Amino acid sequence: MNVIGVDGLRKAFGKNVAVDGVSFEIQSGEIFGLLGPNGAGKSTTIGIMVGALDPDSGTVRISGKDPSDPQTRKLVGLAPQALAIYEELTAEENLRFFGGLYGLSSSNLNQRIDWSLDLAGLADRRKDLVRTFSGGMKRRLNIACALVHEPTVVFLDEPTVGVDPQSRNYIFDSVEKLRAQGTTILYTTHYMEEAQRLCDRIAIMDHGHILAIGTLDELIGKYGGDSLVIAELMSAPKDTSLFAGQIHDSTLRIPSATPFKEVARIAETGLEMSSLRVERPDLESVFLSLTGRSLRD
Amino acid sequence: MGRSFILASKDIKLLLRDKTALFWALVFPLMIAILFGSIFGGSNGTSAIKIALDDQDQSKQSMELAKRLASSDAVKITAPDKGVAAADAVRKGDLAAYVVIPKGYGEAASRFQYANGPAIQVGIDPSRKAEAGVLEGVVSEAAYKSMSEMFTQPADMHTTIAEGREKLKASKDPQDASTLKFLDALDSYLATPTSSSPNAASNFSFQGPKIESVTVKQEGAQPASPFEVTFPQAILWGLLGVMSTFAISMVRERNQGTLIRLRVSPLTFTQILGGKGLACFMACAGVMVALLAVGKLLFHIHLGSPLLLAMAIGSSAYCLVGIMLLLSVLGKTEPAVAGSSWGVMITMAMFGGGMIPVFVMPPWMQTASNFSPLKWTSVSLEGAIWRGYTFQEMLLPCGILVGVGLVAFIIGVRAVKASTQSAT
Repeated sequence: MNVIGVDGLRKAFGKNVAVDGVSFEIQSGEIFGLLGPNGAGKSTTIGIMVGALDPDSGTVRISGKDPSDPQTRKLVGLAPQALAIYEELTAEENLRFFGGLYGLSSSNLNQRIDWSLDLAGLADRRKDLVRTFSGGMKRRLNIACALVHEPTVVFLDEPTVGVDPQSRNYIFDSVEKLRAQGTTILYTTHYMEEAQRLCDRIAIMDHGHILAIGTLDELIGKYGGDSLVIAELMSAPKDTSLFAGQIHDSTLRIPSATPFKEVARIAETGLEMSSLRVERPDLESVFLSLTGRSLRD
Repeated sequence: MGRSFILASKDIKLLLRDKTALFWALVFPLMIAILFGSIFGGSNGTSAIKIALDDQDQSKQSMELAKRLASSDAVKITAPDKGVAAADAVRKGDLAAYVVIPKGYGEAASRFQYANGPAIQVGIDPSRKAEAGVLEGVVSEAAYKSMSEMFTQPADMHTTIAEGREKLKASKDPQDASTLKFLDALDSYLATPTSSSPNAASNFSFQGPKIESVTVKQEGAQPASPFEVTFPQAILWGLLGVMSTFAISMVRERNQGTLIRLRVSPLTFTQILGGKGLACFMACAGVMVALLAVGKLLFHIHLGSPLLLAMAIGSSAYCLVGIMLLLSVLGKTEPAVAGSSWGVMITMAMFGGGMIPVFVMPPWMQTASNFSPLKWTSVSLEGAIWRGYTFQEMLLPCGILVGVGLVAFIIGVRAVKASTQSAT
């Protein structure tokens, strides 16, 4: 069942078209990744989807309703890319404030605050001012504030930017817990590893356009190209005709849709190898294939 | 309304935890009030004193006196607004004082019988003790100069003396007889200046024009101390501190992303800004109440009618909320908003009486001050505290403040909304 429907979104700031004809759908309980480099239009798309920005054209539906409807907004949680928390309030005060805006009853709010602090791993720092937190702790609280009112649809905009590995893993665990609870998540990132690990489906976005949508395997299968077999030989072979155009000095690089067959072929030639590895195509390959440049450019 | 209070209480909590903001909102104004109250003792500046002149006598002598007053650099004669009595104009602070040349002044002057004649009345705002002294000196000087002028023209003086003697001859009053003798001797002296002094010849004791000081006041309207003048002035600075803090907090919310989080919540944009405005309103009112409470407790300032004070505080706070919203869109970054908003506010304070009282400003500045909301804040506070404004009189400054606040709020909401559409 579709929970989110986006159709033909367009938004320009002056002459700069940030989002141009974006359309996709997100199923209930799905983690949908929006992958693209900085400036691709991901945050603007989220801004429109949560009703904070008015699109020039196009529509958004969340559970079949307009996102600007206050009843719809109760279903939605947003963790913006910026640290949208108050540094001079404690972790608990931040959660109480944001939870209070959703009209939770006092007892329910207290429960949700406890749950959110546990999820973010901040229960023991609940009474501390946020300005005393590390960057990673602030990121986790930023996400917790989006969850305190128990939304069914959550937007996580670059939730791991600038965090330490420990906090990043904590965030991944939190996202997976949300998935287990059936929460629908839109997850934007420019880290392909995160999209690969967490997302059920991924949309590749660049220059305001959606270039491709699918599961990881679908995208790789369609746009990733061949795997690459790389062998470091003990010495350069005298006869290079078997691997014409694929050998440079003592390094053998063979692109192939069937990499293990190629490994077997190398072994049959009797060439001695100091190392051998197979590189499977990934989202980086997909992005390169779709845009002609690297995701990290 | 409940959610607006949640928003407002968050902002108040943030303000109370911001020691720098608290310093500028409370401590700094308090320092100003105490410092200037102690230094100046309530006396006012050095420019020409604005007065109304009422020549009820319309005699040659009274007109001469009026002419001399008008030529003085120390005073500026200004007609009160149409339909407003001079005393009311002084009481409301539009003029510093009034001078009345009473009927009979010319008659007494012509006979050199100032002591028996009516006194020149000087009605002075009670907060202006220094100006009162200056003004009485100016009036005395003008009267004596008018009199001495007569001696420089013996022919005219002879005519005046002759007229006076004719009138006095009919009188049976012993004092008039003495004056008659003096005039006889003076006439002889003017004819032959080497003769003996006219005073000695007549045994006449000459007294100059009488000046009667009239305190212009209503019940409870007189400032008991200079602090009643300096505290409203200092409150303006506290309000500037609050406005600056909230304007900067608006752009901070916008830039750090909390505003977009608020917009995703089930609040309308007007509710969000309403919450911010409510916090700003409460902070402005709180600063005013706190400073006035300190003034009341430590410096015994008189606070006047609670209703009128509430009107002044409420309308001022309301106006400044609207202006705060406008200030918050003067830049896209915190430093830009801080710089530009202080630039605007300093200008408003300068013209609004935050630096020097409006009544000592040059005329063009006084006219320009009408465009500063802070002037009306100051007027309303002073009106409630010590000027003794009536409810009707309070309606003008409070009405202007509410009107300006409403317009600024409407424009501010649109401007803030537009600014949030410019980026995510």
